[in-house]
Amino acid sequence: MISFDFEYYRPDSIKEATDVYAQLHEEGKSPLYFSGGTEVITMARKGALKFDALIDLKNIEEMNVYRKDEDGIYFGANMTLNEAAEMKDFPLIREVVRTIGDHTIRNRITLGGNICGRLPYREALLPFLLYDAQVYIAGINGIKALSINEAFNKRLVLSKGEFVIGFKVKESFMDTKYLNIRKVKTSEIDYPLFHIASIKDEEGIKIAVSGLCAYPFRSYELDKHINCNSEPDEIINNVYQFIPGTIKEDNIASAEYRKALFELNLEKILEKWGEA
Amino acid sequence: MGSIGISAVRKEAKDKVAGRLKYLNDYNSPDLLYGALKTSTFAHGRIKSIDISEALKMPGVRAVLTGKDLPYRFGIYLGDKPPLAIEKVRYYGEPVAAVVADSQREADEAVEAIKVEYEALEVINSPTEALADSAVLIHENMDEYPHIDAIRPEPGSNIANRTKIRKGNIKEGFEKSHVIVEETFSFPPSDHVAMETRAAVAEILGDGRIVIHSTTQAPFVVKNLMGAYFGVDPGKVTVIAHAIGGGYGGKAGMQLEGLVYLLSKAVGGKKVKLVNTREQDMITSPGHIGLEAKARIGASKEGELMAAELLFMFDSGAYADYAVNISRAAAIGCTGPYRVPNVWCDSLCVYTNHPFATAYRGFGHIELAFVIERTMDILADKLNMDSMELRMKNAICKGDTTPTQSLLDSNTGDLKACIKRTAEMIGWQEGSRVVTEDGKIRAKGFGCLWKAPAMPTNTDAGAIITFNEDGSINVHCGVVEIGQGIKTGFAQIAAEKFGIDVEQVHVIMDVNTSISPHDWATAASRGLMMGGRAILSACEDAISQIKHTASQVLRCPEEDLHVWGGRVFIKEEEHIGLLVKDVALGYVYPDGNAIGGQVIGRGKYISRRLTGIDPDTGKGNPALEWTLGAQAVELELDPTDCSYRIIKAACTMDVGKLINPAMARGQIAGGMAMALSFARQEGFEFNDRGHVINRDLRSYKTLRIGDAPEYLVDYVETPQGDGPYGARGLGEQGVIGIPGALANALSRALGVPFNHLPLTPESLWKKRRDNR
Amino acid sequence: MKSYKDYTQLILKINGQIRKVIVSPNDTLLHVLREKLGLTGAKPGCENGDCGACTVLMDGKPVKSCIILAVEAEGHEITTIEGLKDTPIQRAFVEESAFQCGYCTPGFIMNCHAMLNTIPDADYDTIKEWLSSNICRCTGYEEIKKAVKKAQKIAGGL
Ligand SMILES: Cc1cc2nc3c(=O)[nH]c(=O)nc-3n(C[C@H](O)[C@H](O)[C@H](O)COP(=O)(O)OP(=O)(O)OC[C@H]3O[C@@H](n4cnc5c(N)ncnc54)[C@H](O)[C@@H]3O)c2cc1C
Ligand code: FES
Ligand code: FES
Repeated sequence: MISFDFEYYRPDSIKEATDVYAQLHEEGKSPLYFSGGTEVITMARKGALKFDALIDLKNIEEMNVYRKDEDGIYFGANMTLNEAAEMKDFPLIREVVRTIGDHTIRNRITLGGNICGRLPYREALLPFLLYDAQVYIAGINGIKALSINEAFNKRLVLSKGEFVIGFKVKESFMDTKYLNIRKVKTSEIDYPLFHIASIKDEEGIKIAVSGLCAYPFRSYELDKHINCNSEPDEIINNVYQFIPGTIKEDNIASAEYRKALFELNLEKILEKWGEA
Repeated sequence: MGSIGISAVRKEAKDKVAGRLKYLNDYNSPDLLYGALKTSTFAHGRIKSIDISEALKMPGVRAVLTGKDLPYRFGIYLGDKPPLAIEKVRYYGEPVAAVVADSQREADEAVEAIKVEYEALEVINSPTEALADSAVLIHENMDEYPHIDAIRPEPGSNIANRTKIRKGNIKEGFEKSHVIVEETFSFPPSDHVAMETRAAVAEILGDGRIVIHSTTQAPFVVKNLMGAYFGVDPGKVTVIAHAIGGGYGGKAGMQLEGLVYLLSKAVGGKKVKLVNTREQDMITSPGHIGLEAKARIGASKEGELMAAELLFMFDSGAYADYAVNISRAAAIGCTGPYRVPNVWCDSLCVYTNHPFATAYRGFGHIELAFVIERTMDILADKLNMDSMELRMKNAICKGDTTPTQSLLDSNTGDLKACIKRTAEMIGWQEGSRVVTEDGKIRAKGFGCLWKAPAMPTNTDAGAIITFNEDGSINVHCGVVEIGQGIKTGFAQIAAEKFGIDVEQVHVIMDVNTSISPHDWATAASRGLMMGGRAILSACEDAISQIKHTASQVLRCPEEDLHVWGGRVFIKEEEHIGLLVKDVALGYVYPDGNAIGGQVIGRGKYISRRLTGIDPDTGKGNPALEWTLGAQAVELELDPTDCSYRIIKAACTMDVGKLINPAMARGQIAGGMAMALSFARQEGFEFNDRGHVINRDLRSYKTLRIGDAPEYLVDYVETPQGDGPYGARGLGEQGVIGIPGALANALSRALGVPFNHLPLTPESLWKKRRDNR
Repeated sequence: MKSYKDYTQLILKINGQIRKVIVSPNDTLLHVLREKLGLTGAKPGCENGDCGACTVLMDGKPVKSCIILAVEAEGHEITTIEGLKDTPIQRAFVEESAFQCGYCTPGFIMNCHAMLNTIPDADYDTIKEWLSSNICRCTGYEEIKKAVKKAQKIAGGL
C-alpha cells in the first residue's frame, strides 16, 4: 500500500504531457513521469520515492508504436519488454530484454522506464548503446533527437520536464552478429552480477556492460582496447583501466567474484569473436 | 472399497482452483479497524524517546501504543518478549509502537509520523560472539523470566537453554576409535516464506469474550497462551483458524494474536486486523533458526561409529520462542539415524541480535542432519569407504538405542531398505562423480533423515463424527489444514472404516477452539498419526452406537452386527440389516415410534508412555515415533564459475503405510524443494550493524520452477503398530537429509569440504580458491 | 487528458462486467479488486512484483496487480480467477494435485491460462519462461508442470 496521496494525469499527447508537467512544477508540486510503473510503485510503497503527481505516458500514441522509417526502425518508449521481444528484427534486443525480471513483469516494464529508471541495471539500454541508437527526447521546447551515446553519461541525461519518446536503430544492424552473456547469483529471476552484450561489425568488437559498476556503460576506450590485437589475457589484465567505474560490491556478489567472472566471460567473448 | 492408499482428490480442491477458498485476509467487513507496526531500525539499541504526538493527531487514528503501555512478557516456553519493545530493541525490525486506525492507509500514515530515537548498543551477530566472555547481555534480567521445567536458561549469559546428552562413555569411545574427524559447520537464520503472510483479527465482545481469527497452525496453543499471558479465562477465548496459506512451522505458537488482542483492547474491544507485510513477515515475525556447530566423530577401522561429541550453538535471535525447544529436539536426535554407543552433546540456544527463530519444518532435525550427514561423508573419505556403505553399516534399527537411551521397538522403520532404494534410484553404483565431455562435473551426494515429533508428553488429539440424513459423515477434528491435505487424509481414514466412498465423508475446514475437540497443534508431523487415531476411535464409537440402535430393531446381539458400505447388518446373514442413514439420526418404526437418537462418535488419542529427559544425561523416552529415510541429490557443476544445476533429488521414506500417494509425494517433493532452496540460496544477510539486507523477495531468492529438479520418491512400509492403518508422519521429513546431501555432492564435485550454507556459487568459488 | 486527483469514480471492466468503484489514485489494482470489489482470488504475497500471487489478466496478458494502479486499468479488460469457470487448466490442477495450501494457485492458474491461450502447444522452455514469474513454496513445481501438460491434452480434446 502506498501511504501518501498524489494526483494522476494521463495526457493524450506529448504536448499535454510537457504542459501538465510544467504547470504542476509551477504550482510547486513535484511531478514524475510514469510508464510501466513497476519501479515507481514499488519504491513508493517502500517510502523510497515521493512525488505529488504522476504523469502516465501510456496514452501517447507516438510512444506506443514500432515502425520502420526510412532512416531506421523506431521503438516507442512505451513498448513493454515483451512487446520489444516479439519484434524479431534485432535478435540481440530480443535476447537482452528477455532476461530482465520475469515474463509477467515484462508485460509492464517499458523500454523507456527501464532505461530511465533509478536502478543500476537498466539492461534494456545495452543493445541501444551498441547500435548507437537515436533517442528522441520531448521537452517543453519540442522534440530533439540525440545519439544515445552522447545523451548517456551514467544515466540518460534529461532536463527537468523532459522525457524519452522513443529510440531509432539503423536497419543495417539487423544482421550484425552478437554475443550476450548474463550471470546471476543463483536464481535466474534476479538482477545480474553483470550483463555483457557485444556486437561485431566492420569497426570491430563493441561491448556494453550492465551490473558491473553502479551504472551501465559502453566505453569507446574499452572498445579500442579490446580491438587492439593483443593476446586475450593481456587485454584482460589491463581491462580495468578502461572501465569507467569501480566494480560493485553488494549482496549479489563481492567485487572479487564479479571481477573473476567478468574476466572469464570477457575471455569467452573474445575467444568466440576470434573464432567467428 | 478401499479408501487407503488411493490418491483421493483434496476436499477443498475445487474451491482452491476457483479462487474461492477464503484465507483470513480475504475476510473483510466495514466494522474492522486496522493495525500497523512501527519497527526498529537498530539491531540493538536503547530507546531514548518515542514521540507519538503527531501520529495521535492524524485522521482516522484510534490508538497509538508503545511498549510501556503493555507490561507483558510473551514466550511459549520462556517469557522473554514484550509485545512492543520496552526500553531497548534487540533486533532489526522489532516492533516498537503500534497504531490502530479506521483504514490500513491511515494506520500506515500514522506509523510514518512516529519518531523514535535510539542509542546504539553493541550488536551481537553470531552465537560465537554471544558466548564470548566479554559479550554484552541481550537479556540482562533473564533470571526474572518464567519458563517451563524442560528449558534450562543460564542467567548472566546469552544462553536461553542448554540440553545435555550423555550416553555411554565418550572418552572410551574415542580411545577405541581408529579414525576421528572433527569439523565445524554453520548457516545463518533464514525464513519460511509462506506465501500467505501472517495475519490476525481480534475483538472483545460485550461480555468479555475474546474472539480471535488467526492464520495459526496452533489455535489451541493460542487459546491456552491467551490465558497464560493475560490471565483471561480460557473458556472465554475462542480462536478460529481458517485454511492457511502455508505454515512450515512458522505459524505455530503465538504469532500476532497476543498483540492484536491488546490493540483491540486499546480501542474498547472493537475488531482489529493486523496483517504482516512481506518484509515484516520475514524479519519482524520469527523465521528459521541459524546454527554454528562442532562435530567430532570417531569410528573403528571397519567404519563402525564409536563416539560422537557434538556442540550445537543455535542462533535463536533476540528471543527464545520455539528456539529453546528446537535446540532440545536437536539434542534428542543429535546423532542422526545412526547407531552410536557413546554420545556427548551440548545443544545451546543462544541469543543474538538477529530476528528471532520459531519452529521450521524439520524442527531441529534439518539442522542436526546437516552437521551429521556432512560429518559422515568426511569420515567416509578418511576411512576410504563409500559414504553410502558407511551409512548402511551404521544405520539405526530395531533393538538399538537413541541418544536418549530409549530402545527402538518393532515399530522402527527400515532405514537400510530406504538407503538401498535411494541408491538404486539415484544410480549410486554408476558413480558418484563424473566429468562430462564439456568439462562439467556431475556429482551425487547422500543424506539420511530421521525425525520424531518434539512435543509435550501429553500431546493429544480429538475427533467428533456426526451424520447427515443420507448417512454421510461429518468429520470434525482440531487439526488445521495448512496445505498438507490432512482433512482429506482424515476423510479417507473414516471412509475406510465405514466402507464408504470418500465422497460420503465431509470435513469441516475451519477449526474453532470453542467447538472443535481439543488438539495440541498442527505441528511436529503428528497430525495424521494422532488425529488419525482419534478419528478411528470416533468411528468405532459411532459404530457401536449404530449397532446398539440397530440391535433393537433387528433383535440380535450388538456383537453380531457389522457396519459397512452404508449398512448395518448381521455378519452371517448380510441380507438382514438396515441402512445406516435410517439409524444414525435415530430409528423410526413404521408406526412413528422413534428410538436411539442421533449418533455422535467421540474419539481421542493421547501419546503413550512419553517422558521428559534427565537434565544431566538426557535419558528418557521423549519420542512418539521415528520416521526414517534416505535421500540423495545429483547435480551438474561448471567448475569455471562454480554455478550448478540440481538434476535429481531422491527420497525413500519408511512411512509405515501410505494413506494418499499423491499427497505423500507432494509433501516429500515439496519438502525437498524447500530444503534445496534453503541449502543453495537462502539465508539472511546482515551488515555489520545487524540489519537484514535481503528482507524482500526481490533479494531473498526462493526456488522457482526452472530450478526444480526431477524428483524420485519411493516408500518403504514397515507398519507403525500404533498408527492409523500403520501410518506415521511424513509432512516435514522430506527436508531433513537434503542440505547434507547437497553439500556432500558439491564437496565431492570439487574435492573441497563445504560445511557452511547457503551453498551459493560464489561461496564455493571462494572456498575452493582459499583451499588451493 | 484524464486525471484523478482524489477519491473518484472509476469504471472498470472486470470478467466481462462493468464495475463502478470509488478509488484514490494511489490504490493498487490488487487492493481495489480485493477490498472494494470482493474479488479476493488474487492474493497479496509480496506487493512488490516478485511472487505472482496477485496475477490477473489485462487484455489477456498476465500482469501483477500489486504493481498496477487501479486508475491504469481503466479501458482495459481485466480477468481474475473468479472469471474462469471450469477451464482446462483448473481441471488439470485438480487432477494433478498441483497445489497444497493453494495460496499461490489463483496466480499460477491465471498465468497458465494466459499462456495456453497465447501458445497452446507451449513447450517446456516456454512454460519455464512464463511460470518463473510465480513462486510456490509448498510444491516442488512437479505437479504444476504436469498440470500444464494435462491442460494441453484436455484442450486438445484428448
Ligand atoms: C520483479 C522485478 C524484477 C526486475 N528485474 C530486473 C532486472 O533483472 N533487470 C533490470 O534492469 N531491471 C529489473 N527490474 C526493475 C526494473 O528495472 C524497473 O522496475 C523497470 O525498469 C521500470 O520500468 P517501468 O516501465 O515500469 O518504469 P516506471 O516505474 O514507470 O518508471 C521508472 C522511472 O523512469 C522514469 N520514466 C518512465 N518512463 C520514462 C520515459 N519515457 N522517459 C523518461 N523517464 C521515464 C520514471 O519517471 C521513473 O523515474 C525488475 C523489476 C521487478 C518488479
Ligand atoms: S503480490 Fe504481486 S507479485 Fe507478489
Ligand atoms: S500451494 Fe502453497 S504456495 Fe503453492
